[in-house]
Amino acid sequence: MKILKIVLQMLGFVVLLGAVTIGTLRVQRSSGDGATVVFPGGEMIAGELHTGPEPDWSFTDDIFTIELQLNDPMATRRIFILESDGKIYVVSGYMKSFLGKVWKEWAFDADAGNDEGVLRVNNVRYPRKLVRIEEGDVLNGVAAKLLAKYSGVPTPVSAEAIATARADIEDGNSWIFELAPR
Amino acid sequence: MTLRNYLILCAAGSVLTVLILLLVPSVGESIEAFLIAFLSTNAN
Repeated sequence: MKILKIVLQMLGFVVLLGAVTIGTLRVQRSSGDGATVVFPGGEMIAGELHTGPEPDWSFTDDIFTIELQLNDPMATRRIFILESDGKIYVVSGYMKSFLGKVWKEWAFDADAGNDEGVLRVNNVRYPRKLVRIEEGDVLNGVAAKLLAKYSGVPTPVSAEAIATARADIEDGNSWIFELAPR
Repeated sequence: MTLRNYLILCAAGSVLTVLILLLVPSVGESIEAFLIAFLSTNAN
């Protein structure tokens, strides 16, 4: 009985410190200018605000993650970016898993209507509107880029691999949002 | 260990954890790297 008590006390101590660590990091990051991969950040302040015509987004092929701020409620995330046919997209995976539901709350927010925000890449801020793409042939290009850029699949990506990735998106396991200008 | 001492230990551990995270940024960054690896592996 005494051993059980000690084990439970140790377990409680470890869980407490874990919760304190997560809570502290989350609060600390939430006031920062921009985000980390795990924790959302605060309003993006730094960087010039882009005006004028759309850039050639192909430069994002060399950029692993970008920062995306949603405006209401204000929060910033660091996420993957894809360019396909001159348009840019962000990806949110694991959407049907429990951890995905906790980790990817920004995607649920965006889908629920919090769809205006700001993209920051190379220290330039671009006002954007998130438009979820759930089906259509546009997903072929997005899936191919997703596999090549983030899964290391050699190009040209096979039609089978593209079809599998597209089915994953259309099944709702991964959500794709176009970052349209606004 | 009495309940009183246990609660003191929990409080002291929590305060120490917060201070370390706030004062030593590399600790928080290392924990985040671990969390990324964990989430990437287990979020299925």
